[in-house]
Amino acid sequence: MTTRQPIDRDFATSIHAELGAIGTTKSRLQRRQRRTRLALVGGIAVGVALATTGAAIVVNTFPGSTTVTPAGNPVDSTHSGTATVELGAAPEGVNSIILDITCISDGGKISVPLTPGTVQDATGKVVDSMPETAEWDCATRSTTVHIKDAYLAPDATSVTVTADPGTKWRGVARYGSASTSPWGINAKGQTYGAPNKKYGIPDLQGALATNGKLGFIDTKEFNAFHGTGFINVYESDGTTVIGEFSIGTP
Amino acid sequence: MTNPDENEFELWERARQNDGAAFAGLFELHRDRVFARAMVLMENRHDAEDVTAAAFFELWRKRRTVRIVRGSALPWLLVTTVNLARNGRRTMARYDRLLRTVARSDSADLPDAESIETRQRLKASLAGLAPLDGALFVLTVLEGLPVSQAAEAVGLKPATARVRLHRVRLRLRAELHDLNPTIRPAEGTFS
Repeated sequence: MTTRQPIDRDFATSIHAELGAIGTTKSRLQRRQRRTRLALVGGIAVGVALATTGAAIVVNTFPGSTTVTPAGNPVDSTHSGTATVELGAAPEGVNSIILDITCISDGGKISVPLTPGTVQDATGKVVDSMPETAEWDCATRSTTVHIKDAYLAPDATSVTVTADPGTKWRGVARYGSASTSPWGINAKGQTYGAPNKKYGIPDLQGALATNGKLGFIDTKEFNAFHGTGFINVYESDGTTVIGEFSIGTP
Repeated sequence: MTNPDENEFELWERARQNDGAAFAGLFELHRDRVFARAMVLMENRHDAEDVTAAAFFELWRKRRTVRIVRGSALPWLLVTTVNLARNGRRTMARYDRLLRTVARSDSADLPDAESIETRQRLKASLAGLAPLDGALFVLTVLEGLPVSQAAEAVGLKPATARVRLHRVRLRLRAELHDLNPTIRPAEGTFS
């Protein structure tokens, strides 16, 4: 008969600390998840780029895409470390900031607050918002980072970019007005299109298959998938398989 | 043991908002029960610890879709523990790098031969069941949850769960009949 043994005290303390770090920059769990998410978003971004260069699909007609129309004049400034970029009086109807940031220093982390994302319940209904940031290191990204949805707080006229002390960067900022087209709905009643911050994540989300075809992955399959490997890429009917989507493999 | 009460519900509400302290609180509340379940299913203590940690990491990762039963995350954690123990290699790989760096003491108490055999056979039997059935079996027979709550935890109607459980019991009774005394119900009841 087994006697009940307690969990190792040191191990428990470490896991307790790791869980306690959730929601802070120290969380290794969150760092890991961001890497996985970036892989997916990268897939979608590549897909959209391919679609535009191939002229087969226009980005703006991808259901659920967000189009940001620039408004007002761009403000060009150079900073060192954390700084607030002031844009002046906001034109009517703006709801985001378009920001192009270029590292001048060879290293140092930069982080930009983004328009908050959505939290959906099990049925897909949007129930809450969640703060999001774009983060990168000048050591690995020297080209300009284009951010079309930097966070514009209600009634604010500026955005604060967080950078490591001494990290020099140049920012070109202007107001933007973001509008999101509705998702498509297929015969099975599934929503399809691009994940966005207004409605969240559709049942089928746009993705680029390894064979270069643009299609949709099933969000349920994606969420249930663990580790590295492949899931199906479908047509918008959610049934016809046109390729496979790589997860976690470079 | 701690009752799943309003406190836990509050903790969970905060955890859903990505509150680290709330996840740490849930870990304190349920880690012993989850670890005890993992110990019965895994070959050794080290693996059981990894499964325990991974169950809580998964609770965080899937916080938007976790099924809370009567205000408690415990049933979900136990189902996840069973699933991780059954076939968790891919999920565990997700946390491999993190777990390798976690400090632990070197004490390795060896389980006795009988309990090794028990867990191996229990594991083999569970592996032969559909994941849902395995989860139902563990929640009701080993953890002592009422069928209605176990059904809720895995997303089935109570009537469907009862039918499935009946079949599982018949099957496992045949497979594990000689080990009957070593399958023990959970201590305390789950209210």
